[in-house]
Amino acid sequence: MKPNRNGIFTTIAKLMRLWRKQQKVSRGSLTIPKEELSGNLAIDVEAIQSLFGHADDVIVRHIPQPPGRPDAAVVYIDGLVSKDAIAKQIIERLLEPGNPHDAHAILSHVSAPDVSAVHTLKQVADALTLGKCVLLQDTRREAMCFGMAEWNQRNVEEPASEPTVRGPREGFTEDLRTNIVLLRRRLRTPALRSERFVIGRQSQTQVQLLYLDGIARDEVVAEMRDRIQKIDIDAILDSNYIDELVSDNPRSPFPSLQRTERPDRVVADLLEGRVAVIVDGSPIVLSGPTTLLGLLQTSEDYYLRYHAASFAREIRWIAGLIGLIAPSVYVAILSYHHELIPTQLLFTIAAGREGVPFPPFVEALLMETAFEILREAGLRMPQQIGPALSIVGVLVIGDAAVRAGLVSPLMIVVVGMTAIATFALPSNDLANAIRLLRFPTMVAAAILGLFGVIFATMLVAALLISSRSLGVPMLSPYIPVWRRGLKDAMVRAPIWALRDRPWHAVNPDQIKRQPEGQEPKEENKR
Amino acid sequence: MRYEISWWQFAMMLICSKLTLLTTYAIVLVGQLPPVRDSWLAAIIASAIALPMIFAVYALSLRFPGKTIFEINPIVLGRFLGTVVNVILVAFYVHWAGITIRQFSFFLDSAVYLRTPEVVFGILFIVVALVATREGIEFIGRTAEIAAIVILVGMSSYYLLSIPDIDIGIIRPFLGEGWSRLWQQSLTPIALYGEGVWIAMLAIPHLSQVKDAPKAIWFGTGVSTALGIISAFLLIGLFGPELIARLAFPSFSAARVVALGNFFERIEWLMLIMWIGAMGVKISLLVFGATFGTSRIFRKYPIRHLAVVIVLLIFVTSRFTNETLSEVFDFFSPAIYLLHALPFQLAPAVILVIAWIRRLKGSGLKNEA
Repeated sequence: MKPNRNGIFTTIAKLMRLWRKQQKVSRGSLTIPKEELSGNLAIDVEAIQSLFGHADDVIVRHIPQPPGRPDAAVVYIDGLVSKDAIAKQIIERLLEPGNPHDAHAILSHVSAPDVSAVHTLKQVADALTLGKCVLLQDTRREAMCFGMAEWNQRNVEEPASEPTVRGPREGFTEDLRTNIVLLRRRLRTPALRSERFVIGRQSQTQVQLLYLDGIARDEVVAEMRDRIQKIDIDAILDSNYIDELVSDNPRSPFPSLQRTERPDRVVADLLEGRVAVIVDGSPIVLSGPTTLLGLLQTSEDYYLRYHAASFAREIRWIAGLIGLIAPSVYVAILSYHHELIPTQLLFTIAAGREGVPFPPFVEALLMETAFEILREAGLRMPQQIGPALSIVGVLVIGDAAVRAGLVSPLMIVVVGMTAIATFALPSNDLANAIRLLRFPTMVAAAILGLFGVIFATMLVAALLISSRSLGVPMLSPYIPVWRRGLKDAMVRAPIWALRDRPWHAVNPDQIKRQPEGQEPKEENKR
Repeated sequence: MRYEISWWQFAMMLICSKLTLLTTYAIVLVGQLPPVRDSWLAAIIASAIALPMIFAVYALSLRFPGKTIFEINPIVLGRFLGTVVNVILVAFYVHWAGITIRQFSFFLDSAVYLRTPEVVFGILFIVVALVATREGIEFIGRTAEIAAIVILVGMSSYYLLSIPDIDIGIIRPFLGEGWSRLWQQSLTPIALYGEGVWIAMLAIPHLSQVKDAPKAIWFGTGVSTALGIISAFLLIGLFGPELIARLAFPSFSAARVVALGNFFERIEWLMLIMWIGAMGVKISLLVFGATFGTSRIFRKYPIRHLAVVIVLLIFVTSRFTNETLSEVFDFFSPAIYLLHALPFQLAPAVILVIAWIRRLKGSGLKNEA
């Protein structure tokens, strides 16, 4: 008789299935059971407390009732709700003689604007974590939830990472509602759509997708909605989680969505057909699809005269290039291509490098690493120590290193220029990507000179060319070329000439932003 | 996902492909040494002969809309013979990619990096081509947009800056050496301008609007012809035919002559920078062609997986072709270069004639790369 090989495989498969099932069961213990409320007050209260592990901040206030009436209890999480409101609007009303004893009838006596009925333990838990107060009654298999959320939050302030000389000074906060209000105040149109998602098995974070109905391209909205809905993670602690989870280019160092703290910036994006994603607890709002040009633009570009704005944009492009390749070009030219340096300058550089014991690559690597350490330390330092650190850093990086003969003065200039150049970029994510790519570019320069620099730059360009944001090429409108988009690209045309919205984000019939003839007439000179 | 390119990107691919050899090996001149003084006419003659060959690909695409040559061959020639021809086409792409990699590696090694092993550049080019091939023809099209603009700006600048050093008198008298020598001079450039054929075979089926293909062919060939004419003028005017015969890379030497004021000089490095992107595009197109063809032979096997194998094959091929710089120069003689290129460049025209005789037509969906 032949051995039954299939039997062995079947057994292994069964064992695997069993193991997977066990894995699922063990994972399932982290999720909240979807049991319905029992209708027995004591059992339901105990179930809720057990759900939260009898946490101290889950407060249960029993409200005894006269005989013949069902007992009631109010449950809330301390710190997430307004206790005064609960006391005045719910407890006092329930304790008043002659008050209605039916839960629905209570609604006519309670002035809380946000009221809903829930039936399962999971819904109760969700309501509690959202800052609602839950009213349970004996014999009733439903609970009433009252919106009483109140907690300490930051005021609307000027965003620290995106200050402007001209333009509004408001910035987003960590509160989702406040952020939506900041947008609605600027966009007083019913076309502003807002879709809510709750993401994070444990964090239950509220995520809001916003867009202008009719203007935003339907495919883009659907794509973003679809990607958000597919997220399955235990917690969303910041908008970066969403960014990384919906990214078109998960392995690219370049961001695939625009991040901003400025409401005016998001409003401008929405008006150009983009979608915005606000995450509760994060002051950084995402918008997309974005392009490399978008990452190099600021909202201030539209608050200045177009000549100055265009000039600033050119400067940012140059800054990006300097940030990426300046140290590499230094290494390449000094290591391989002396002939490229005019003779007079070559003598000056040679005099500066006299006594420096390191080759240009090591010199550049040391200085860049030292600067990055100082920068990272500066971010973590308490504010009181920050200026002291800057002074020490400047002395160490600059004067002392040159005097010690470790580096040449030109190297200091190059590192300084590079650092300043990356800070000139409006997008912190873009600056980070450039800082990161600078090091491999330097290695390429050390190995192959200018050819290495070009080779590395080509790979960076390849990365950008292949990158997309919600399906839109990152180098649009340059690659692929969209001529009308060039009016608001490296150069900004006057506002009256910006007649078109970006083709990639808006519905095709909404490309026209404004009619022709907006240009001020010559007669206005009078 | 469906990959599409615009006519502009197709035109830029044509420009990149031709300008690389034009600017490195000055191929309009090196087919016959010393070159004739009227070499600029060779560029016109060569492109006039190459254009019908490229348009044959367009005609074939109109007859079989949306199909690539690798799908047309089995329809026109029968499954067996069509597959055999496809294998030959893939072999050509592999061989030509190997030759091109060797040419560019030797150029960099001999002109600039004398102490770096030539194989290093071969590896780097192959890495770029692998990345590009895996991303598809849309990616190569976009890269060509950047690379062509860079090389065009670079070439125009150095042409302009070298004008003061040109001696127009060297170019005269017009047709002083007769038509026969001029014809001889034109043979190698025919193969260069005929390279549009294999680019068109890859690009036209992927065009978003096939009817735009003639625009791209005229524009791409026109610009590269104009630059070929200017290049011949410039180099003959700068060095004269006798000196060109002694220079390995006359275009590179011409860039050395250029100076702006007392500060901006020795710009050959800037030229090199401008050429590298176009080199990458040309090699990527060849590698993509070989991979795409193989994918079609093996029932649309995923290109991303095939690319690695094909790239390795191309790299090995490159190690066994043109093993010395002198062999590279010998390759540019009409007897070798034209004979290597012409059968491949004429293939679409032959297929078109057979399809026309057999009254075959076909249509299909856009290909997926």
